[in-house]
Amino acid sequence: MNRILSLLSYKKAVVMGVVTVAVVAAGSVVLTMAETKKEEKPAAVANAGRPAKPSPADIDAGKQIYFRKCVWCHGPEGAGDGPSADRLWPRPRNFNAGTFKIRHTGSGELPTENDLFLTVTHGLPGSAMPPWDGILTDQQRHQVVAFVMADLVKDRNFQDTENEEYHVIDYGKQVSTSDESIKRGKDVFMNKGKCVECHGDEGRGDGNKTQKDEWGFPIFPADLHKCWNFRGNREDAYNPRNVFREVSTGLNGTPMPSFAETLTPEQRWDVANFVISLCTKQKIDPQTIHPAIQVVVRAHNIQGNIPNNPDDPIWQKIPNQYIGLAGQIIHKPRNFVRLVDDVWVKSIFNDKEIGWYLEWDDRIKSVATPQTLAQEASFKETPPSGEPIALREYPMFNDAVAIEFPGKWQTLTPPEKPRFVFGDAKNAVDLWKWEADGTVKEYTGHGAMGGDLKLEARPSQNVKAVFSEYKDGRWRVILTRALTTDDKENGVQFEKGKYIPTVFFVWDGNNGDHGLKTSISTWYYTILEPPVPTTAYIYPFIAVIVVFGIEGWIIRRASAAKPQRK
Amino acid sequence: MKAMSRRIRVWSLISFGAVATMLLMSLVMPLLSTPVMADDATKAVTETAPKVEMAKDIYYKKEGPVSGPPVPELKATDYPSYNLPYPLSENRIIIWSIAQQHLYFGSFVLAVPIFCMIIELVGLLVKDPVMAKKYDDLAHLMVKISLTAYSVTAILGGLLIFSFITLYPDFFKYLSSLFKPVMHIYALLFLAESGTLYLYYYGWDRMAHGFAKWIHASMGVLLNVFGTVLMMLANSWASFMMSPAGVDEKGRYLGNLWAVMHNALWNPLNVHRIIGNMVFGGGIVAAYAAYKFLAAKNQEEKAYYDWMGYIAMFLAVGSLIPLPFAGYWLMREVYGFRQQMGITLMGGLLAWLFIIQAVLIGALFFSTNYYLFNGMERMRGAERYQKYIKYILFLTTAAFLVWLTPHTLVMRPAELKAIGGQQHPVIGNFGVMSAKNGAVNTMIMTTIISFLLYQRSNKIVTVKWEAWGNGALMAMFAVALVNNWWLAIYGYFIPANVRVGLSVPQVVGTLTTLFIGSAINIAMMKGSKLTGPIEWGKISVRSQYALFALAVSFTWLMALMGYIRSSVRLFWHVMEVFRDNSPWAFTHTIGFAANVMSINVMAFWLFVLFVFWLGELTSQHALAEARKEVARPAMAGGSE
Amino acid sequence: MWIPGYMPIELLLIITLVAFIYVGVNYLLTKMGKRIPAFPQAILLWLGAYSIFKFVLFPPIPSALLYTFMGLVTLVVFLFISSTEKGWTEFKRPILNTVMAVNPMYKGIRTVSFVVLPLLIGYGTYDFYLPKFDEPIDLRTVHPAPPASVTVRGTNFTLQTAQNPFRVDDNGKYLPVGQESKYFKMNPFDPNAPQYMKNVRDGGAIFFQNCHFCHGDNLNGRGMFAFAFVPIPANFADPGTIAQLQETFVFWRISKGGPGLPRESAPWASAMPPWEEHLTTDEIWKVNMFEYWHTEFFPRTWD
Repeated sequence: MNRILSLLSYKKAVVMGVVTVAVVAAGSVVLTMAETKKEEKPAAVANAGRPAKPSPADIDAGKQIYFRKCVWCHGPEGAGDGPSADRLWPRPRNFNAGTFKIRHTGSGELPTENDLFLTVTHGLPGSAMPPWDGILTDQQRHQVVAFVMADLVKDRNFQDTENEEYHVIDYGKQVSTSDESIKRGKDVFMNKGKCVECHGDEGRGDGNKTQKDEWGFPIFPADLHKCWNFRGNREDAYNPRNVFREVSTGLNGTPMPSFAETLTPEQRWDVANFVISLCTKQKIDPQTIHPAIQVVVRAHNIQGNIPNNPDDPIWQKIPNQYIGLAGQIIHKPRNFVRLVDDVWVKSIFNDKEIGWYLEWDDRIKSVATPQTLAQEASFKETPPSGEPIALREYPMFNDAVAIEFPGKWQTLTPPEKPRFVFGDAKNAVDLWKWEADGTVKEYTGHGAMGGDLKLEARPSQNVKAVFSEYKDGRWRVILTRALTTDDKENGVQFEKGKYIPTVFFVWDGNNGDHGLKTSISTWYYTILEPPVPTTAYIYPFIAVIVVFGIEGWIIRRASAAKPQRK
Repeated sequence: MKAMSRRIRVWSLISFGAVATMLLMSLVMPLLSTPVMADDATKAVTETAPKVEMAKDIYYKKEGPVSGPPVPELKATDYPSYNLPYPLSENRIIIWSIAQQHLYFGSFVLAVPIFCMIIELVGLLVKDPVMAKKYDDLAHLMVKISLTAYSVTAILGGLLIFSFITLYPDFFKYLSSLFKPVMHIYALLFLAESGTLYLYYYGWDRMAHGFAKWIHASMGVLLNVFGTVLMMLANSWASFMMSPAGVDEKGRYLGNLWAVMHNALWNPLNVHRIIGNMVFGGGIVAAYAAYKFLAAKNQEEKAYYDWMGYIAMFLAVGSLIPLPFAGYWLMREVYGFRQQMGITLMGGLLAWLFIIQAVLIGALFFSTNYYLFNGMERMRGAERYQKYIKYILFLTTAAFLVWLTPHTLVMRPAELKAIGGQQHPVIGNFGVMSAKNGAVNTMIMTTIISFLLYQRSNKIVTVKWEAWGNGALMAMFAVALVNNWWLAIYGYFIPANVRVGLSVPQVVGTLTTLFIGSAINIAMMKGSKLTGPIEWGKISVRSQYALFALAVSFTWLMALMGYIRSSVRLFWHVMEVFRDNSPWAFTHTIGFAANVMSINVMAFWLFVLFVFWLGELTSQHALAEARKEVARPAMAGGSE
Repeated sequence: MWIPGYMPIELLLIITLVAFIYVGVNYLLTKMGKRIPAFPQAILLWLGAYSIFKFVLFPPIPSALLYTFMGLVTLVVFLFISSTEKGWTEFKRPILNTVMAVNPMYKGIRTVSFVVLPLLIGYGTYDFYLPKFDEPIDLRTVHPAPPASVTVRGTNFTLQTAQNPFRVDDNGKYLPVGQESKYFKMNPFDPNAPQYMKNVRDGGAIFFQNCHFCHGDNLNGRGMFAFAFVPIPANFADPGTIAQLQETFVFWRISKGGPGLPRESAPWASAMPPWEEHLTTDEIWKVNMFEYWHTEFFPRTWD
């Protein structure tokens, strides 16, 4: 052994080491890719997709898990009627009829075992179904799927070879994305596939707004700009394979049909590439499966006036920033079903003014009319104590957006702020609200404890909406205000280089949103970018000279010491 | 002659024990008699004037006659302050700094006599006359160092009282109304302590031989008795502020002084402070030795101060081992007194400071191990054990990694999002008590292993049962470590009240390795062959910086834990009885508090250097002789 | 694939494995007479530790902690190298050689490093003075000290002594903490379930009607609204949250929510509702029970 080892020279050892590391790295890359591929390809293809009959032991184990983890939404009989069901939209799946959306099998067919396994593994993004990967082991997930297939799908039988057919889709040869493919895909989207009829001209799901699913619950076409919300994206939002699959199989129980018959695989790949090209490119946070959140909004310094057109190059140059929105479920009335889950912002300022650009997707433009507002009184009666959802059954209120700042952030010791839900009794907020009827108002907020919203409109008219537009399922609004105003008591005063806490709100009028029923963000920080200080140019220079000096001294000492050493 | 000297020893010990007891009795008697007298007074009062108001003790829940005024309701204007620039405009910053310096010097002068007593006794008991002289001189030198510190303590104490009277007059008035007799006894004791100290120091050479030496040694004991009682008296009012007793809800004195003193945290605080003082004192002396080592001009001096540093380090680390257990007791009593107080400390407002504490404790372990590794270099034959250093270091590092990882991480919102929660799914688990117990026991055990290896460095085992001994040692450490880790993991799966009990087997395992391990090791060293003497003075310069690091960590830790203990009262002068209505009754930010602590630590070290330098002025001549003798080869101090 | 939360000890095992590989490789190389000198060894050790903390550990740890860990590693590498005089001399040699420029190669290294070093320091200084848009680090106390008592919907509860009235054994008596483990695996929807499990089921229903939007289906703080909030909702599945707290503490937190937090816990940012606005005290106690049942943790007790 020693002899063999000593044959290797030091250099050889290094080379060998490098080679080994390279081989191991390459191997792991190949294996990871193979792993990914394996997961993509349903294992059931080999046996034509039909699940094997699960063992009683697995079904029993699955039942244990189901009644611990799943029953709360899907119900003890799997009818999608667990305790939480009435406050969720989309509602939890009713397993009884065997209708599953995300599959590899033909339209109307039962899913493969692997389809269900992957759904449990990755969850259904954009809904309340979380990824169970990392919470349940592989075996446990298979077991719970076995229980669902065997006991909860009551109307159909996976093992019924006479009536149940399995046509597992073939991915064919993937058409990789390119400008041509996207162009062809757009053509199919607009013409042959008629996708545009439901998904809308820009793909924001605003084509057909009055659809219902198999159980009669309202349902919207997907907003193709938010691929992280695609139910079947398998936590891999920008992968066109998932879109190809859904175009090919359709989504059972929904109006989304299968295009396997009408479109060739190439055309479906083109559509998939087109759909992914619509989706806003963002870094996805693997923990939340949503775009990663940056809590600092950087306001860019510009020369000249703030353009009142979002297509102006000055606005276009600045990247859109993602702001996540949750339903306000803290105080009554609670907004369990918030239809707007994000707003995108940009901010610029010059030496006098600050401008905010806000953009969000909303499938239905709602502007209050005297008739709809007259129903407000009846609305207050509508939600009983439990506030169940009543999608689109509310009268129409104004769509609206608001930005909130602490009224006097200068006087607070960081990190203290007013409460993000419209401030609190001690610290007030300054809230600018734009509504779809074109009004802009400034409010002073003193909180909403107990559902008692203390929001007083001020007479001041400092905030102006210089642009607002609803087009193809999207609102775009530009608000401007002077950096400083005379109302130092209530109005926020902007200073460069300071962290100014900021909250965003969006109201969706047709969802009944108004007042406290809103979508809300957490505290963000706005920074008006300060100029680069001159010290940033002077000190590095000094530092370099000092270090050089020290080095010179070391060299002198070293050369003085040298002859002595010899 | 031998029998004679033994008889003398016995008699002298007995006689001085008697003297000490009598002196102590005079102190304890008034304290003990107070409650009795109070009871009598109660009776007398109830007989003559039945309308005396009775009230309930907030801690002992007993009824007692109201015999003092209630706490005053103070306003912000009741706190006169000097118009000094910020942050000195805050009264509490002034009090904080002065109290901190006073405590530093106080604990130093209380600790040094303990060491002197021990070292002098060791010197008396050691058979080798040269070594005896060496120990005796070391003890003498230590008192000398503490002598200047003693007067500094007194000055700072005076300063502290004056600051209290001027800056917090109403609060001081209230406290002194409660502790009147205690404060007088305290002053008298201080006089007695001074007298004994001077007698002890200046009588050193005159009482160097025969029976007189035994009297002298007993005087050392007496000195410590006075010092300890002094500290306990001072602790009584400090602990009263945290956990008041003997007063009613309005803070009115109920006539039982013993109840006021003997409040919930008094005894835990006493024990914790005595041990803490020893650790601290050892650290300072070690730093002194390191300082002298680095400044030494010849080999003799180096050898002497190397040895002195070793002894001091040994005493400090030896006292350090029980300290966590005393701290644990104190925390238990804090939780027992008020749960919120415990949570504020450990999980709430002040929890961030425990991260700093973790770092400092790690510094202690690492510097101790590093010092021992370096110390092995001065022994020929240590090469055999140096290959184990990497394993010891690795275990210590892994344990420290767990020990250091806070439960709640300091992070930016984006990082919080990336982790997906306040707790990290992997390392977040290191943040809970179970993991910490496993980690700290591991660190203690690796340090013990380092020490055992150090002891063996220059010896070749010759006992016949060498293989058995080594096997037993290895098995014992393996079992203790595995048991410790297993319990640490098991602790995650059981209720908290059961989990608390797990620390007992863990600690027992650790202490077993310490005591039985050392015992086996010493037994194995019997009749061992020396590969060479300990070449005192040959230790690396780096190791002396490790000693400094040790001492500075102690000082910082003391500042930190003192701050934590004190600020846990939040906005109370006396917890839940006497509200602090000064404008500064808020808790400072961690950064600010850390800066004040650092400044206090630096000020103390400047002060200490000054004291060292003063000591230098006279010591040149006196010790020259001792150093010569020390240059002679000697045995490792640790096992003696 | 790193499975979060499955095996907290995994990191320690990986570090141990790497350490043993390091020792083994070093031993072999020394045997071959091709020992890696101390200086590159130190650098390798440092980089190895860095890559474990940076790339292997997932999810990524916060930068503040990474700096702390690397600070520790730097210290330990130094201690390791300098624990013997021999190692220390060996470690210093290349540095001294470079400074002294003992031969043309070292002279070259010296020239390069003496040019690069000031430039790096200059850039670092420049970067230091540039305006930054980093998010501020907020220290937030996750478990603040509770008050002595709370009044919820008109009833006063002393937190040190209050008990969960729904924590009952099969005979309806109070069930001491630690004994509920027999219920952990039971099915709450079993019609013959004991009273304890019926209470758990009620609590579960309330949880899934109110709490799971933020705290998630698995009580791990990853509900569908969680992505929008900072701080992130509490993860009850972590052994450091409810497992460390008394039931009454959790009761206090639920009933008073974000607005009931003290200043150090950032009440202004917490999205936790004061649940007394929506739930009765009975409902709060039941939710409390469900959380411990589902996570299989025991509440803390002080006896």
